[in-house]
Amino acid sequence: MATLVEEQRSETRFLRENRFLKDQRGSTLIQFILLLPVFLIVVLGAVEVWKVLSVKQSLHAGTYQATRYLTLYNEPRSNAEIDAFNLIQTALLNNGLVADAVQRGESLNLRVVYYDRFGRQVEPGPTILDCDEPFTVRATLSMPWMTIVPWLPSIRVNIGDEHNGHVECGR
Amino acid sequence: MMTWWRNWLRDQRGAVDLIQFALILPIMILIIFGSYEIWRLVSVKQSLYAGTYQAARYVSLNYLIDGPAVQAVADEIIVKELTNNALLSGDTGLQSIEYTPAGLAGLRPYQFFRIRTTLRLPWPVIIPFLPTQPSITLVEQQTSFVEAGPTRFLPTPTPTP
Repeated sequence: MATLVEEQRSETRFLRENRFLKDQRGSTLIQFILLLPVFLIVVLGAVEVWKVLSVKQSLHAGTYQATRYLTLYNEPRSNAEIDAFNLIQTALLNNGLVADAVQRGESLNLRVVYYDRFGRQVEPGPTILDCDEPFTVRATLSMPWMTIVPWLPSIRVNIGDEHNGHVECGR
Repeated sequence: MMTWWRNWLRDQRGAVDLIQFALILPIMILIIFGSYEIWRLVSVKQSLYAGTYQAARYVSLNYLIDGPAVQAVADEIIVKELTNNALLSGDTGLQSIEYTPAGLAGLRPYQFFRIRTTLRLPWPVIIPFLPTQPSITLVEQQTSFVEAGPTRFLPTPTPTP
């Protein structure tokens, strides 16, 4: 027991007498070092959130255009779905972040699926539906994500967007 | 007077705070003025987007009525949207408005067209004393189609005798 107390004493003496450990200057530096990772996560995280929202906005613009296109141009066997897909793809490529990823040779994995008003998937799309039938366009994008921190592992980010339209027919 | 000064110099109370403040001040100035610059950039980008979107919408709805003459109105819409932005004083820096197909010639109903606007925003604040001022080029693209109303028609009901 006594030896334990003695050991502790020698330890405290060591702490008290060692020149580096005794030095209490620079405590603000330690505060700064402790806060730096938190600060970096907040700032860099904000940039990443902004990038995701930017791609999401482009996907939204494209899906909106495609829904409008299919609402008005939906003759049976007209392959309008291919044009609608191209509209979404073009809207995405108008975004610099997506265009850069494509330029690097990454695949976008853009998938466009159509549902009727009962939630059943329709193939190839709204062109097989009757007049005035509502439909849903759902676009999902799975793109490889490059963060601005270079040594982080690359991940895939899935972004989806949905719009409702109906088969518009003239009378 | 001198004793007051000497006392002030000898006084070490608040010294750490003062040095901390002096160290943080440039970062603080950078963040405050930097956020203003980013706001300006986002605002101009948003105006450019709004103008291009409105122009594309105008072309989309009016092409079958007015033909390629809609291009002049589309240009006007974009320029007006940019001059409405108070952060772009005087020169809007609009470089080009490109239409694909060129001149919007011969578009058929439901054919796609594209408007691409380029704006060069002078950026004098980042480095104030430089012979050639840095600038940021903003590009906005809109792909749309010529709207022509519904293409499918309901069968006309047979008149009951």
